[in-house]
Amino acid sequence: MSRGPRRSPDAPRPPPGQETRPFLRLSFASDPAWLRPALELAGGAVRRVGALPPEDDFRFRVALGEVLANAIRHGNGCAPERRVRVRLEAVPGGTVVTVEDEGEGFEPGAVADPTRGRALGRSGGRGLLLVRRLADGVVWESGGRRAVLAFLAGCRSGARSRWSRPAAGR
Amino acid sequence: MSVSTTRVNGVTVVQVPGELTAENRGAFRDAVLNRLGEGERKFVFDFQGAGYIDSSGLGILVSLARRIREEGGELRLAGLNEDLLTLFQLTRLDAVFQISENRATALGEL
Repeated sequence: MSRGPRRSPDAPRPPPGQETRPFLRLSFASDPAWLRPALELAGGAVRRVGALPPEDDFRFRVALGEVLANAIRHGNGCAPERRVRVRLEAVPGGTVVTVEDEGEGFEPGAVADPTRGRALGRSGGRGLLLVRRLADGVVWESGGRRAVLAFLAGCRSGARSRWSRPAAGR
Repeated sequence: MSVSTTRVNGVTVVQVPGELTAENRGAFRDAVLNRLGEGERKFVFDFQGAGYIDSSGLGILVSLARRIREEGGELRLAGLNEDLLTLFQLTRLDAVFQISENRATALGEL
């Protein structure tokens, strides 16, 4: 797994004076075998720099895992010549993760809600839902080829309290 | 990966691995379908010790629940930690599965 890919020319740039330095950059071939090592590296780096507290480990890992799996399998179609690039940056109170693939892109808004109707009984289609619900913010850019996820420390620790009330609509 | 299954009072208890993902969902599915093929109809999937599941893992659980139901069987999930329960609630799968607090409770309910 090599480090230090060049930033793509059309990558989003923060306003002047608010630039951040990545604390981890990864670039790897689109092989599902890289998913676990990439997650381990990302999770380890987040813990090392203290970007998120341990109670956020689970949601960070699940959300990032879904985005990486999408990039490898759906974005790049597991084509080994296509790479997945990951950048983790520390921001006040948390971290921003950017995952970019070299595929054809997709329209996130066109993905059906897996919690409604017959979709609830289907075996697939829950990845984007998990990303949206477990990250504190997510945007897809570059036609869906780039996902930018924000995690704020403790922001979803309210997930604990979710157990004290029934799911919406039940 | 081997998937541990045991018979307890006519119920097949399947130990869910520590991580259930695209990597090992096939082995998990095969273990359950083999038991189903042998005529076993009451299942508990025990999540004690399981700490991570991705959308592929959730998908295989939905698929297996459907197969068990189609064969006239019953399934309960047991021993999910708070993080895993969160996933089931976020995805509304807590409305699809019968979820028990632990293995003993699940066995008593089947």
